[in-house]
Amino acid sequence: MTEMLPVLAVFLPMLGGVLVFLLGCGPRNAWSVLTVMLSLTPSLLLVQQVAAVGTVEHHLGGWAPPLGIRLMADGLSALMILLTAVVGGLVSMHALGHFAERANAARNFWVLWPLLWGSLNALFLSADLFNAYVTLELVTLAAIPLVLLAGSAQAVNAALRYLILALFGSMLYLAGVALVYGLIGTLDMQLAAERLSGAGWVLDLAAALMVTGLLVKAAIVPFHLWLPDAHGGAPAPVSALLSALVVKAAVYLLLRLWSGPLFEPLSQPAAAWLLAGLGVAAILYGSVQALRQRRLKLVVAYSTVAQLGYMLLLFPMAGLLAWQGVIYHGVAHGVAKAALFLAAGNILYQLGHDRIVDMRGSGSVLAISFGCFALAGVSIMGLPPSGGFLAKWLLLQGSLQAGAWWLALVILAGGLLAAGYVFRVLRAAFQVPDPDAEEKLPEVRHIGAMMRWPMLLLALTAIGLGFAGEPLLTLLGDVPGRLG
Amino acid sequence: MTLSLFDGLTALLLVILAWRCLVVPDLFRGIVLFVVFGLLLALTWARLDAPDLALAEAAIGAGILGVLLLGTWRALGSPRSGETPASSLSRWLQIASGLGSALLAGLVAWALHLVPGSEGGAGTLAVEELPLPATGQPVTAVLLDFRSYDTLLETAVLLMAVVGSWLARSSLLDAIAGNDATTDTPVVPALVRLFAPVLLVVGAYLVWAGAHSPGGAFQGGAVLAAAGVLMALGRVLGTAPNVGWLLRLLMVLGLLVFISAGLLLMPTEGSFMAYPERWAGLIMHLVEYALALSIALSLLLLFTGAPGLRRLG
Repeated sequence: MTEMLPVLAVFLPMLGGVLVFLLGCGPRNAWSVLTVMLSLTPSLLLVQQVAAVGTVEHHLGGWAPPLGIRLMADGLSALMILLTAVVGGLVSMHALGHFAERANAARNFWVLWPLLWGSLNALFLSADLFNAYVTLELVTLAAIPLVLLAGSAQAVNAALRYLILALFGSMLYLAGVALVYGLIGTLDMQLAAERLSGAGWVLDLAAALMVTGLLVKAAIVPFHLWLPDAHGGAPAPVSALLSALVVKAAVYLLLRLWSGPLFEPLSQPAAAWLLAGLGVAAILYGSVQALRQRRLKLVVAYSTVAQLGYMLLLFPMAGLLAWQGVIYHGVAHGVAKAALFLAAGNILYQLGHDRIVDMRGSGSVLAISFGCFALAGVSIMGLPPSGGFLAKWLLLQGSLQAGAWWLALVILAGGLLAAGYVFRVLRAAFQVPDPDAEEKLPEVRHIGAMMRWPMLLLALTAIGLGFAGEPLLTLLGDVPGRLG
Repeated sequence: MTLSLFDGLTALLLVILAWRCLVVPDLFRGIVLFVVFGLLLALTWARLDAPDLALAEAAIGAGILGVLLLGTWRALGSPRSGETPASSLSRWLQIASGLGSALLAGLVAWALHLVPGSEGGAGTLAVEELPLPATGQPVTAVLLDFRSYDTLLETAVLLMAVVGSWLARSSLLDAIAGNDATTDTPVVPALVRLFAPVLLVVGAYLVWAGAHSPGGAFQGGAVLAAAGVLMALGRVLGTAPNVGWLLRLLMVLGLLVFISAGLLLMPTEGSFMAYPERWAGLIMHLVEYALALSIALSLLLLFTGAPGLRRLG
């Protein structure tokens, strides 16, 4: 049973998606709920198994590498699968409420999202360079139609732009994989890590191609162009899934390659600092753009551009603390960003718009939504006692340990800028209306429990992650590969 | 294989065609050039002793893709010919990106020239292991046995693509109108009735042949889809606004059969997609046919645009 868990974590969600494709969401969403259960169970069991016994492996078809493909769940995979389960489970609940009035969109959502869930798990379990390409494609091609659920011409534009850039990224990654296969004749990450050394500039070129491809998919500055429209324009649950999980999947793969086959080319100082430089640019540019946006969902989308930048700061630090900090940042940001997007979506639903200037005085009416926005914002800013604080604390220590003090400055500056864009929204919302103007409090639509609770739970989890460092970092374990 | 005049000429023509395809101002001519490019690429694969790729490129790259592009072109309302589509890039950016691409292509080509190739790698191993798997053809063995997991995941892409195309259409158009074909000559329907059955047989043969010679679910499926496209053009098949359950089932049949075969045998065989020796051949044939049907239907639905299909007569 244990060895089957990785396979089940990939295919049970997909079977759920196929089920909904065939039968619809079912009476009272029975099939949708069943699908969530089918997806959650193997994921959580697998995480528990990894926590109990360590790395779980599965040789597909009974063929060992290099001939066959290996699935591997180590601490890092388990942590990402857990993040997907927690965020995915809660966002699924929100989606049941969100799409309640749109039967057609609901059906398509419940086909695509389980397929995306299975694909994400497949990506986190992949231990093969080409298979990673396939799963990356699956994740992208399930994510793009989800953007279209917004049902507007702008959404089609955003999705097409996403598609074109993502395909460009895939092509670059695939070209790099082809070069690696030509060099050593294997696609297995473990074998590649052992055999790829001293390969010279061909390996550098392969690494450059693969990494650039992943940066495009992860929307790292200057490849972020597709993200704000796609994430800002999609329906709220979709935005939450895209920002919390989908872009992170590409960064995950980058970290996986760094700790394995591409360690040598990526740990050259020039490459490490180039990547960190892009990360710094992403933090600063994304935050400044988030400060300038007029619409709430775009603020949150640009915040994703900024927050992803932190994950690239790992390369020059390259130590255990930085490794833990970067991964924990990914987890904490995933939860907090999902909460922010659900809150922004609820505010949009309740007010009928998400223009920040026109939100004046709505804070008292929409106290729960704005309260959740503020709680998740605490984690994004990196204030104690949130998950974001713990991640930034580890990163700061890592940077000082590596003697990169100016990276510490960037981390602090990023936190300040984040405080800027979070408080700008809250200030508008809680501004006391002018008593002379006789402005009435805005009319708001009511949201049901299905849309309120997931947002609240995610926001609380974002804070709670500040106390969950011990078990989660134990699950993560040491840096895999040559550093460990 | 020695580099002959023919190969040099093909390579040169490929580059020229690709370049013309990108810079030609008329969209229709661009599409035609793209189809020609695909066919020449298929020829190149055949010269490189990769008949599977050649078949796939001809059927999917040139055939189905060409038909999809032409369908899109028609839906655009056929812009006046000679009209230049406004490019959003400045001349200098175009030149810079062109030079950058050329430089990158040159670097990759040089790198490929230097790498030792996969001597002793997974590819060699796959050919050596061949007597073992139930299928005797190296490409099919890789696709359906050694790396069947990749193939299975790619099958899911088709479902995503079809759902995505429905969503894109319904976002842009108020009512989903399919491409119910109209022809102004009675010759076309007559010819379709003549050729469609032949194509169907060729497609089915390609799937069957995949076990021992070039072909397989993807190539066969593409040819079956082409037969469907012909029938749609010849007004044998029409579009319908809703998808029936049978059509839905056929669309996911490949995925369902593939996953079920892997999952159901996992408890006895110990790993996913490991088939018992006796049944392996049968299971793989089943999977191939189910896949081919799903691929053919999905590609056909991408062409017709509407969710459903119906018989016209």
